[in-house]
Amino acid sequence: MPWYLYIALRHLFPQGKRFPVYTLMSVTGVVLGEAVLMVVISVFNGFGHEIRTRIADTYGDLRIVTGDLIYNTEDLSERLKSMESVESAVPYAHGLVMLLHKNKPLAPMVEGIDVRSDEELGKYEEYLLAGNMDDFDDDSILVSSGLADQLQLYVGGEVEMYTPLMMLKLLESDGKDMLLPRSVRVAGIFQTGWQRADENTVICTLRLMQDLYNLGEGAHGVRVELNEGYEIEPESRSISDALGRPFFARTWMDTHGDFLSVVQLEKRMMFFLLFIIVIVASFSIMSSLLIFVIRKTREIGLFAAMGATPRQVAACFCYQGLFIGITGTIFGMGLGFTLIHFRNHITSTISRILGVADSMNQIYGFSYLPARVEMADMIGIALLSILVATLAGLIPAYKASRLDPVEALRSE
Amino acid sequence: MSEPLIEAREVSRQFESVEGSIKVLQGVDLCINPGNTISIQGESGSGKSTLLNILAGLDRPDGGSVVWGSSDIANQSSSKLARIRASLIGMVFQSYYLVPELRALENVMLGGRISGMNTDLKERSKALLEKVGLGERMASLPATLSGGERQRVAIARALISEPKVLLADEPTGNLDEATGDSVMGMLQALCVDANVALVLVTHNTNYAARMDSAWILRQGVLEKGS
Ligand SMILES: Nc1ncnc2c1ncn2[C@@H]1O[C@H](COP(=O)(O)OP(=O)(O)O)[C@@H](O)[C@H]1O
Ligand SMILES: [Mg+2]
Repeated sequence: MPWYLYIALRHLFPQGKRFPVYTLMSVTGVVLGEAVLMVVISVFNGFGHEIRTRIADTYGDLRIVTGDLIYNTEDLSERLKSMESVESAVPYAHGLVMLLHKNKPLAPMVEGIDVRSDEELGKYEEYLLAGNMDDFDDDSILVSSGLADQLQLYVGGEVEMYTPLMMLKLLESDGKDMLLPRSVRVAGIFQTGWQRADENTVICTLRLMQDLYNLGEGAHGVRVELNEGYEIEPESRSISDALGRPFFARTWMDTHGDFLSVVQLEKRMMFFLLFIIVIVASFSIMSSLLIFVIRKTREIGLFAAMGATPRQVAACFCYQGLFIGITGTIFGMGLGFTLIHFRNHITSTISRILGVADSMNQIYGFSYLPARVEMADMIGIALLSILVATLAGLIPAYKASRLDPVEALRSE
Repeated sequence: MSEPLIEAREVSRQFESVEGSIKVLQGVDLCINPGNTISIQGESGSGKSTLLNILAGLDRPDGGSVVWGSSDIANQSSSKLARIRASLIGMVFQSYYLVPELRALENVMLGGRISGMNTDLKERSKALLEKVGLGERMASLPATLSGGERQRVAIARALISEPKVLLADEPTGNLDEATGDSVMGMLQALCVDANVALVLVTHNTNYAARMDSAWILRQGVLEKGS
């Protein structure tokens, strides 16, 4: 070990002293910055991931469409299911309807799902706030929580549904026809945690949808879920290619990607805001190292008298910054992982103390704080913290290397 | 005779201060030959420390030249000088300058580490500490050592790199007479033993008289002492 590295270590962890206060203070700053960054970024990743799964659950990973109605959905589904990457493929139809309840109208998006598929039913069952999937049939609908709130819908209640087709008929008959709404029962109320779906969505059976929209046996497309481990984007391309014209695959990224990019943007902003903590910590490293250089002036003069080059003296203090960075990062990671692991105990304890239980559920639709540790992010945070701490050591190191040995030895 | 280790020729050095420039050294000639012992006396502020710093290459003269071996050090970079200094010169100061974070043994070993004399460093350091009479205090921190003990550690640290010249700036200046005597005796014995040239700055006429040659720094020049 070169002597300057050795001295750097000894300065940080002096012999015979169990409690190196200066070192501890400098390291603590890095530990806190690192830990906070890790927790917040992981929670953001968790939110992103949760939202992604919820979008994927409601939209499907891919949708195979032609731009026209598809009648041979059985064939298409079989072809898709025979592909290695495809977990399930079920037909769907979608559109817009108007619901009228207690004279209040709203026009939600409606999606007809294939109730023969157990997976489809299971997925919505997960998100049901009230009601029962067993009651879901061709004369009933599932409504999103936001819709239920606004129209004051309740499970078991009836609601009147109008389709664009009915209006068209009314127009064509110059108002001579009666406008007869379809009365449906509310079988359940769901909440996915994805705001856009929760606001204004109705789920009905594919059969009801075919009926309402006069589709016959047709569907608008086939929803595809991919098996675990397949990337959506490349897979959508290869499935499109495999099916050939007129079929093509659309991903939820095409339609809802903007929402996720907002989450990404928020994550990046939080990163820069919280990185300020690390920068502040680096200033405290810098100031304590500067004080240290001044305290050690005569010692630095002595090193020169013993034959140390200015570069070696500089290295001695640079290494101190590096060590503080590395030590702080290691302990910060430990603290960060611990906080991430116990985050739900921590948040529930805090909300119990403050008496705001379940506020998270009300706001975000999550009953727990999601978190997802992305290794690339963690490594990035660690490297940046170490880099910044090392940079903080540069100015004191430069100052130390520029000391005139004669002056240094004369100083009292 | 072999060539001198360090030679000062017509060295002058002045400092600028608010009251004008102080001419501290005004043409100092000094020749340090291998194994020679030299004493330099002089009033406080006469420029003894300044002269030692210039001989050690830590400070540069305003006039004249300093030659190490056969090369003038004026046109060498400070890093180059540092590397040569590490093996040529050992220095001992009035106030020891031990590294407080290091134990006695580690302080001695640091001298070897900096000068790159790493072979058998630990064994050699232990042996040297035994020689200066600190065999029992190797694991002590400087703060727990007496002044005399600290200076012994400092002397061992200066000699561990096996320098050719030891520059000692009032090594007994902070010690009481009895301790000073024993430290001085030990210092001289070690230098004679290892054939190290010694330049001793001291106020003590007895110590000065024990050297091969004695000088007095007066009005910026070296005069032959008695
Ligand atoms: N860097 C400096 N700037 C100004 N004056 C200095 C400096 N270094 C030394 N001196 C002056 O030079 C003179 C000699 O100093 P020094 O060599 O330390 O004397 P000594 O060691 O003989 O007591 C003193 O008057 C001191 O004030
Ligand atoms: Mg002096």
